[in-house]
Amino acid sequence: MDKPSDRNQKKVEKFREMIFKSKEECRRIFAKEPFEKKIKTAFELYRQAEYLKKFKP
Amino acid sequence: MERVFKVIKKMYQEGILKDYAVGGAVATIYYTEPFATKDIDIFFIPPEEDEIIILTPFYDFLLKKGYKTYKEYIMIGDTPVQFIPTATLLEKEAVEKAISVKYKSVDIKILRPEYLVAIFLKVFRPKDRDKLIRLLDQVKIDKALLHDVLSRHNLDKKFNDFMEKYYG
Repeated sequence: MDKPSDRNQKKVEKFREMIFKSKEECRRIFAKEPFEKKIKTAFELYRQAEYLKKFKP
Repeated sequence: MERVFKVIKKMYQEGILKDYAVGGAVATIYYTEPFATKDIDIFFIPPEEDEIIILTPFYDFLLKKGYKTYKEYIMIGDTPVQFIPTATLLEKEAVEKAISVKYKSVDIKILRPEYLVAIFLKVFRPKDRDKLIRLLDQVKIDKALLHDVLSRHNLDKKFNDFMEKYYG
């Protein structure tokens, strides 16, 4: 019989798999967005990344 | 953004750009999920006189229209645009074989994913490697075309090494 820590580890693995699968699904959905919207998102992501860089220690 | 593409189309129609295509991150984003980018790369085939590449007509056109330069960019509206003259046969061929797509009301030319893969593989900075992986993971690549391009431009070994390292 599995130890509680092993069971926990399996649950964590399963959860991680679920997250990765869902991220892949999101990628597919984003990739199908209209080109105009994707470009807008890309530039917005850059602006946000630049803003966040200001808070580096 | 639409303004950028309208300006480029006008330059193309007026013969200032012999041929052009959007490359880099923006072209990649056409095929993949969006990711952060700060500029638009335009690959263009510059006019030549006696095998000397002429860049002045294209800069003159933009500067006369009032567009300013910022570092290595030309600012069209608030978008930095980098005009990259094609320097290799691969880039030239990529521009010639580019596909036409619509951005709002404007028709623009975009590099095919197979040529983007080859160019990113050739340049291969960390950000190129990142885009290369996105394309290979998310886009239906025409494998026959890709292998044809890679072999004609002596990139098949580099591609095989890359595949072995990241997908092996």
